[in-house]
Amino acid sequence: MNHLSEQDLVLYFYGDAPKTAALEHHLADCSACAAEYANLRATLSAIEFPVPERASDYEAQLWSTLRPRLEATEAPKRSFWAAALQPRRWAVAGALAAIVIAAFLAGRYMPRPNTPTNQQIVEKAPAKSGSDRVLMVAVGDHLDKTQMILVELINTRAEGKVDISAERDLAQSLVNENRLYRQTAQRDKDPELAGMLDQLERVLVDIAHHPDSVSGKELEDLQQRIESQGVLFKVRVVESKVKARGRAEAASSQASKSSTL
Amino acid sequence: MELTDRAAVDEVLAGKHESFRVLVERHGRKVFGLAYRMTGNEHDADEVVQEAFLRAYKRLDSFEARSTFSTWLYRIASNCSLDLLAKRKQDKMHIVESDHREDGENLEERAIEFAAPQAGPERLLLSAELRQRVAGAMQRLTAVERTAFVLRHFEGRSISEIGSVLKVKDEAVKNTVFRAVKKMRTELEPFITAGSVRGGAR
Repeated sequence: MNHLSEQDLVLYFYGDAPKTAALEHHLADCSACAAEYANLRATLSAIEFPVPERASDYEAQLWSTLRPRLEATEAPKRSFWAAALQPRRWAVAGALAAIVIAAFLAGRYMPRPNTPTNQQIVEKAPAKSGSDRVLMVAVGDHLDKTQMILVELINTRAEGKVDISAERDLAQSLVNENRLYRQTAQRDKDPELAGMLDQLERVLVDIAHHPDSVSGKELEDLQQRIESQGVLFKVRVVESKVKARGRAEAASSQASKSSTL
Repeated sequence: MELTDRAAVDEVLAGKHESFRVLVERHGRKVFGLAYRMTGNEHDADEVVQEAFLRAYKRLDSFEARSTFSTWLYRIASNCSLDLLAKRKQDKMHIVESDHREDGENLEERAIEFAAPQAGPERLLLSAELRQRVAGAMQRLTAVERTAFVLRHFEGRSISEIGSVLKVKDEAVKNTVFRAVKKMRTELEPFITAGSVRGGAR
């Protein structure tokens, strides 16, 4: 067996290594790896970040500060549709979800007489809002993921060689998704969403075209391009609108459902 | 019988809003710990705790039984922490800009000083210098690395839980934890193996 990699040892330290028995066997036989592991363990065991003690009545204090703030916000409640759709929505995970969304989008591209805009769908054709809500949920998730990359990149210190491969890979995987949503938004004559997705697409493509690691200067340039356009802010604004729309459509479909029951 | 998290969520959603208290009291301290390690100071951690519970309350109808409430709450709290770190960074950039960047170095040092935990009796055992170095090294991790490292190293959360917080696959979490550990090691190992803290660390 070859020597263990540093990553193997880190995984082993945290109990996340897949083949523990083989690994332990090697550690017992190989003094070089055993010494390397001893070093790693000594360092990691010494890394502590103690949390300051909270008062014994911390929980009560926290509740008394939170309570008025909670009372000032709209109380959450489970809608009929949320309850009915939720387990199924989450069971349809990964690839299956992608297929469903793809099929749904394909359906939207079928020529229809007099394609209604989103607004009209909400107001006049509540029967469609269930599927629109699926789209809004998908777009909301997409914006969530995109936001993570942008926050991550903006927060990375632009010094020396910086490894941005993880963000780059994620951006690559989001570009196609983004294109699909943008085209749908354009088709639905939703200029705000389409415009934001268009801008986002350019940023994602920009990130996706970077090598594994970049120089501090390159990263700084990228950060400036992201920040100068205020993309992150726009994503947040549109995301909250998209989510609100998802909720509004859920409510309207519920209303129409109950009126037909 | 004590109310489970799930039952408390159901009660709140059914209109008994007071049941949210059970969730706040059960998880508040842990969320504070997470927020403190993410943000590096008590004031920001308090702000994150408030914001996390507020967001959780508002979005309670989107909590689904597939994950545990604490994982879901951790995800919200981690995101609140990331938002706050982003905001702080922006604030700092403004200050640095107005100071013509001359004070950049000082600001960094101040941030680390600020991040060092208050010494309590039991913590005096831990070398103050090591604490500062750990805080400094953690500040130099990227936001995602810091999240992954805090959740795995300090909070003992599983790879898949961290994956659901960061919305990435298990393999990506493992790589991120590894990157973070590598950076922490590079900064701290020379100091730790020099033996100056080994005796006092545990």
